[in-house]
Amino acid sequence: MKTLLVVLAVLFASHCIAGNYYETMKSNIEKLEKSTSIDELNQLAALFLRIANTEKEEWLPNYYACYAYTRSTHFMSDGDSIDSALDQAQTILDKLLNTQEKESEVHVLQAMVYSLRITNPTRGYKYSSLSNKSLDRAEQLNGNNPRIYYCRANNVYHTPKVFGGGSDKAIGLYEKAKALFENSSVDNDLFPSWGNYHNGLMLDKCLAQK
Amino acid sequence: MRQFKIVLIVILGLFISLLSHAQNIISGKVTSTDGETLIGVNISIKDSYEGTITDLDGAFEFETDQKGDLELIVSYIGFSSRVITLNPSEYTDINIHLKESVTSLNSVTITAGSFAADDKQRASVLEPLDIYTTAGSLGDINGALKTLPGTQPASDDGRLLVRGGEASETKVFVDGLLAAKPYYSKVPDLPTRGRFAPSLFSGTVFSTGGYSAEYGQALSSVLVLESSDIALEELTSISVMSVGADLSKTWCANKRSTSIGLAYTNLAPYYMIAKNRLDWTKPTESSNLNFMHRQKFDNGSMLKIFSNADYSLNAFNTVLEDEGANIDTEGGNVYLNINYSVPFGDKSYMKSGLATTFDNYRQIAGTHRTENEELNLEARITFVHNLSEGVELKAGLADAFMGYSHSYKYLKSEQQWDGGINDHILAIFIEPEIKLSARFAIRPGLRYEYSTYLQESNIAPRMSFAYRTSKNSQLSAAYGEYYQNPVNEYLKFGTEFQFEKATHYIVSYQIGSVKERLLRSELYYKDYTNLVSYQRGSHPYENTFFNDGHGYAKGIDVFFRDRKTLKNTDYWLSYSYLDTKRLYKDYPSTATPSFISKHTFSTVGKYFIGSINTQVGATWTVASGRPYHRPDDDNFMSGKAPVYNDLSINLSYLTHIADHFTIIHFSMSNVLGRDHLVGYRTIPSYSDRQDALMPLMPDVKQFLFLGLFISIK
Repeated sequence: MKTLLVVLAVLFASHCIAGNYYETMKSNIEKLEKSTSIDELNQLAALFLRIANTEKEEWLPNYYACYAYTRSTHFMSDGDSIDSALDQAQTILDKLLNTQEKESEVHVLQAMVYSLRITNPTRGYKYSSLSNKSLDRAEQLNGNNPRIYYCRANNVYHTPKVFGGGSDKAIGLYEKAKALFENSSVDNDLFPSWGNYHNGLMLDKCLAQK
Repeated sequence: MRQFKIVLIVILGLFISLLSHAQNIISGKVTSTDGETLIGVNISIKDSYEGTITDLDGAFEFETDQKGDLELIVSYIGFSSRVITLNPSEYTDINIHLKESVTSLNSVTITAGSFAADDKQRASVLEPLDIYTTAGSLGDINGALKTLPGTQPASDDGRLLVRGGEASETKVFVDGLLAAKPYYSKVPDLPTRGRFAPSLFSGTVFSTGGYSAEYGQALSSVLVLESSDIALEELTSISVMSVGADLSKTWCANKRSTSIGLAYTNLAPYYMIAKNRLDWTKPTESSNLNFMHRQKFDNGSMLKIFSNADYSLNAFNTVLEDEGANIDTEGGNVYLNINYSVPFGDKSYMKSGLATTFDNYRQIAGTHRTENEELNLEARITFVHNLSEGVELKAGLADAFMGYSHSYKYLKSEQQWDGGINDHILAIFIEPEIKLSARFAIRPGLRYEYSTYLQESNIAPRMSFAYRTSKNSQLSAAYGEYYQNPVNEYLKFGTEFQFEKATHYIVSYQIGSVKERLLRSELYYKDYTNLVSYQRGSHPYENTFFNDGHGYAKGIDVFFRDRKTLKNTDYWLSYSYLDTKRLYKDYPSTATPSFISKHTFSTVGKYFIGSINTQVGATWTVASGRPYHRPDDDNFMSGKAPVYNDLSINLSYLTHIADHFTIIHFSMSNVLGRDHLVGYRTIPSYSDRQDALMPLMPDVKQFLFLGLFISIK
């Protein structure tokens, strides 16, 4: 009887912790994808960092902490704030690139951080080169990752026509990303899955401009 | 059934105990040790997900189920993290102070005397791109640096003249190694250009004084160029210019890149359409080849190879000693720089390098024929070790060899003079940089040098301080002793010389940020001793030399840059006040040398017109008249040339040709069409006749440049 109790207690406790990780991650990833408030995104980033500090074996908490800081820059307008948010994202990325070098998603996130550094035209050349280099590596690791083509399309879209960019040239890439998004099956629902919605919006925008 | 009941009770009991947990509140405030409110600090309870971040007032509050003694982790980017143990009575109103980390990006950096053009350092005042986009620089690194305070405009020279120092007092280093001949061979009275294209470098540190013990053999200034990192993209560039053409190609692979560049310049077509002063028989023609290879190895080490070779010639007719004469110059140069750095653990690395320059120069000026051959070879090893957080020790060892031979022939009388120098300069330096806090840093250094030619040694102490007075301002100071061998022009006559010496004292204050508005002002005093002086003999090769010259330079340099106030506009203003006097060369009394302007003001403006993809720029430089000596005047150096006033403009239009990014660049110097008589050069007489005066004026009054630069990816 005693043994049974102990076994039950252990099972229960471990279930409690694992369930806690999974549930906490899942609900906060949902929150993260909907949030449009810088404050909330910072809170979420901090939460993911706390999870990362506890669940040292998992890389997704750090990934989402970094993603939250990256996402928060979409709601900022001045270059300095964007830079300081990206500095925080980069600090986490440096760790991730060390431990998860073989993970395509980490390189996509790095590519996005580089692209977002382009807050003024003088940075264009340097950071778009770095971003494309990261996307190349992501593609090498997993060519079926739709976010690669979504980010590459964004890079092309935001590059001025004189430098070889523009909406016309981005269409093909958005379409490729769309096809991959539609066929992708997620075997782990904590795994990165963002981008589909925006990819659709951008594709429509490009087609409308044509 | 009974067992099921027990399980049910256990589960229920657990739920009840969970529900009945008292919620504790943890609250407090986080500030920096300086009292600054810290926003967004991450507060968490150890081994749990619980926690929060601080709000706009630096305050935090959250609920927890935990009780008893707790460990709170407080972490913030750029600050040292803290772990705080709390007992239940201390849960609320916690006051936490975080100390800024000495490794934070915002921590103090030593800046006295130096201007960095780089995108890594916080102390930078310029960005690498500024070198291309500064009007009047004509794509020359030195041209852009001349818009900074502390330099002389000296449009008749082209080299860097810093804080009262001669051109030979500034040394150029590439990746920490000496570039002995950074300029094309100079034709008297005509400006020269830097050998190295600015596109080869990603960082530039221009020190106008008080520089590190890592560098020696420069009395006034060092220019440290850092060659570009591994290129990320394959690129072919083609440039067609009104004065020549360039072709370069870069190949990339994983962790390495190689590039080759070819340049050809010929001024002949330009002289056919533009009016010029000199009678050219062979307008300047030069070819240049450069090679770069970068490779990163798996152990983290990095190999950098940079090589540059060029050949140039020109000839023109002029009048020498009342006779018509042809000045015919020809020169070739090969530079090779190999650098290998290897890390040891994550705390130290070693840099070893070899740089060699071979230079051959021949000139026939009327009846005088001179030929110089010079080989410079520097080998250097530097160790950098992080002793502890904020303490970095740098130490190094170098041997710089120079073999110089000079031959002179007077073609009328078969009179001849040959001589040479073989010198090893051995140097050892040690220099720790100590960040006592995120606000205060000191860098004491010591350098020892021994010259085998002079058979003399020197020990030069250096010292720099920096104190960050607020988030965006800092106060710096530097002191240092600097030694240099006399120039080859004197040294070739014998070994009876000593090192020339300068002592620098600098105080500097900087406020603002280069991204927005930055103001920097620097006050300096420089003391010169043991300068070479001579008494004229019967012939230029029979002077009597002394080493007892002396002098001083003191002044103030002000720099202001603003990229915020006006939209799409970036401008900077530089002002230098310089008071300097010397007793050296063949000066009969102490005087201000003829290349010095007391007041120099320059302003650079750049405006980007997005709608037409065009950047327009202008550089305006005004300098007070330079002194010169009239041969019949009793007061030495009492003549004064007119004020120098130059306005240069440029325009860059960004476009594409068949999908290839293209820049069309136009520039024009001396828009105001002034004469630019910057002074007079004394041509010494070795006979009974009086010295002659030669007006210093540019060959081309207004220089127009048109170029087309195409990048093919």
